[in-house]
Amino acid sequence: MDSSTDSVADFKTGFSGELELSPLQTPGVEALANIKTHLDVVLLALESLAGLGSEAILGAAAALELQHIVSDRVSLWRLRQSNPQRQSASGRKTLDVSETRALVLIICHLAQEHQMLIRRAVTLLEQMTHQSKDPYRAALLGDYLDRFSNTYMERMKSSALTRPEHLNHLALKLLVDLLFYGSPQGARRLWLALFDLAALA
Amino acid sequence: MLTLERRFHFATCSLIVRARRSLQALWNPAALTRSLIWEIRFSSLFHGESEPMVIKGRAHDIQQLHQAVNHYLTSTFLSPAAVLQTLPSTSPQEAASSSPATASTAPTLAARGLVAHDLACGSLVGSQPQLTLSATQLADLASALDTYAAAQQAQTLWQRTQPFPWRPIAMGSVMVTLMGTAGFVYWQRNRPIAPVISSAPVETPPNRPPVLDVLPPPPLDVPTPLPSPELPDDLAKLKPIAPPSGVTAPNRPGVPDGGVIRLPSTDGQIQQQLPAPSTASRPPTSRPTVSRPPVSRPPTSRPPVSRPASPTSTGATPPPTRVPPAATRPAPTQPRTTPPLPPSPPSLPPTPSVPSLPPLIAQADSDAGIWAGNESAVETPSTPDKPGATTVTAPISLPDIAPSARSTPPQPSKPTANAPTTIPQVTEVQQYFAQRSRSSLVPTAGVAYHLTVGADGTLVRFRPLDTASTDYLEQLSMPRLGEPFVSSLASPHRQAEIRLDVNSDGQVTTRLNKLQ
Repeated sequence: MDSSTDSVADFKTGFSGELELSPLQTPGVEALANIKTHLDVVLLALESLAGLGSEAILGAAAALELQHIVSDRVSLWRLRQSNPQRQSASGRKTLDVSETRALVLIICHLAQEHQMLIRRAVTLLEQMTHQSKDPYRAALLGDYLDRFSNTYMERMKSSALTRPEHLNHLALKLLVDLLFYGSPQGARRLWLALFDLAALA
Repeated sequence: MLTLERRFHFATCSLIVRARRSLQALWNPAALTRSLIWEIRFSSLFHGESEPMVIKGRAHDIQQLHQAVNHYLTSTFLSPAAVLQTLPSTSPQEAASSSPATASTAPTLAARGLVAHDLACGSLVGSQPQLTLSATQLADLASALDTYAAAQQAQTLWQRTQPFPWRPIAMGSVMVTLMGTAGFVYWQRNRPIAPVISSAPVETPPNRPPVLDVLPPPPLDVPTPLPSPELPDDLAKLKPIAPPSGVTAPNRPGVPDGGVIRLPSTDGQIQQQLPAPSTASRPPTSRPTVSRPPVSRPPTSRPPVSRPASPTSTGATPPPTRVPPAATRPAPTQPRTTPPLPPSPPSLPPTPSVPSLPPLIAQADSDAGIWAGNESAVETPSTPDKPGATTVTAPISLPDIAPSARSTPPQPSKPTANAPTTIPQVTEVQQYFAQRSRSSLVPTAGVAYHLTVGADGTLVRFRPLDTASTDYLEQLSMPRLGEPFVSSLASPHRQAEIRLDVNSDGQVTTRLNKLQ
C-alpha cells in the first residue's frame, strides 16, 4: 500500500495513525466477516438515503486519492462482494486492512457530504419517536426505509433478515450511525468501532 | 473580571469554557487549565418549554465526560456487534429499560432506544441528576467535546478568545474625556456669573503686594476731610510770620495804550484822541468777558452782593453787555483756586496827571471805525431814562421835540436806603457837558448816556443808550477814559453811574443812576 496516499487521505478526513491496526490485533475470520458486512450495509444505507450510486463512491475515492484501491466499478464491486451476506458472494472472500480503511474513509466522506440530509432524517426520526408516530409517516424516512428494504432484499441472502420491522430497525440504526460518522471524528469512531468489534471477536 | 471565555456552539448544545486570567498564567498556561470551568447547555426542539438542561464542571470533569462519550459511542452505540445483535430483537423502549444509567462518580451513558441516551451526571453538576439526550444532542455533545479536546491539545483554546478589550476601553475613555471636557466648557460658558461670597479670610502671600482693585471704589457721600497739618515742635515754637500786606489794585480802568479814540467835539470836530485799549499785548482769550458765559460772569465790576436794586433787576433781564477789561476783575469775594501770587512790588506806575484843560477838539476826519478799539468801554443802550435828574439848560436853545420811541417812560429808580440821591459829581458832569453841547447837532430825539465815574473822578465807562446816541458820540466832547474830569467820590464810594441826557434843544440833564 502506498503510505503517501494514505497520509493524504488521513489528512483530508481527520484521520491519524491510530487507525492503523497492530499485527497482534488482527481480527479473526468471524470478526472480519462482520466488519465486511457492516461496511457494506452502511454503504447501502447511504445509497438508500441520498440516492447515491457507484459514481458517487468512485468520486469520493478519487477525492480521497484512493483510486489505487477503488479504481473503477469492478474494484468497487469486488470490495462490496466481500460481504458474506451478499447473494453472489462467491467471488472475493478476503478484505485486507487497507481496503477496509479505504471503505471507512469513503463512508465517512460521503456522510460528511450529506450531513444535512442525514441530520434532517434523524431529527425527523426523533420527532416521530417523541410523538410516538410511525417513521413511515415522514416522507423522507418512508422513502429511505422503502429503498433500504428493497435494496437489502435484492442484494442480501434471504436468510439474513426477513422481517420488515427488523429491516426498518436496521435501517434506522444505520441512519443514526451515519449522523455520528459524518462528524469530524466520525472516521475515527467508525474505525475504533470496527477495531472493537474485531477485538471482541 | 479578568476571565477568559471560549464558546463552542452547535445545533443543539453549547459548550462554554471559562478560565481566570492571572499573572501566573502568563508563563504557566497550565494555570488556566486548573482554573477552568465549563458548562454545557442543551437545547431541544421538542422540549422548548421545559427546564433547559445544563451540566457544569471543572477541567478534569470535562475530560471524564469526553472519555465517557467516546467510550459509549465506539464501544456500545456504534459497535457493529450492537447493531447486528440488537437489530432483530430489541426495540428502543426495550433498550432503554435494559440499559439503565448507573449512578457513579464518573458520568456514564446508556442507550434508550435508537434516538435517546441517558446521561448520568455523576460528579458533574447538572440541572438534573440524569439527562436524557437525543441522538442529535449526543452527536453535538460529542462534536463539542472533540473540538474542545483538539483545541486543548493544540493549545489553541484561548487563541481565538478576544483579548482584553483594551481598544473599546481606550476609545470609551477618550470619548468620555472629550464629552466631559465639552460639557465642562459648555457649562463654563453658560453658567451665570455670580459673586463668590466667602466668609473665610483671604490670605495674601507675604511676598506679594496686595492686589489693587481694578474698579475704583464708589464715591462716598462723606466729604473729604480737610487736611489739618500739625507742625512739629521745632516749627511750632517759631513765631509765625505775618503775611505780606496786599497791594491795592488801582481803581482805574485799564487805559488802552494802543489805539486812539477820537472824541467829537460839539462843533463836529475831533477834540481829543483817546488811546484805545491794546489787543495786541493781551490775547483775546484772556478777556474774561468773552470767555465767560453771561450767567456766571459778574455783571460789572460791582459785586453782586452790594448791588442795589436796579431797573434791570426789577424788569426784564438786561441784554448782555460788554464789560471793559478793567471792570472784569474778579470780585474779592470770589474764591480763588490758584495759590495766591506773591505780593507784587508796590512800585506801580503812577496815575498820569489829569490835565485840567478844556476838552480838546478832535479832528473832523475821525470815523466810526475808531470806536472799534474802544468798544469795550462803549455799551449798547438799554437803560431808559430816570426821573429826578438834574436839568441844566444849555446855552444853546434847542427846539422842543416830541419824545421818541427810545425815550420810553422812565422807571423810577429805587435807591438804597443808605445811598444818597445825588452827589456833587452829577452837577459837575452836567456842567461839563452843558458847556460843550451843540443844540444844532443834537438829534431831535435827544441822546442819552450812562457815565461811570471812578472813585478818583475819572471816567471809567460810558455807554450810549441808543443808536442815535452812538452816532452823536462823535459830536460829544466826551473826556478820555481814565481821565478824571470830575472831583473824587466820597470815601466809601468807589463808582458812580450817572445818566446823561442831552435834548435836541441842547439842554443837558444829569442824574445819579447808581452809586457804589
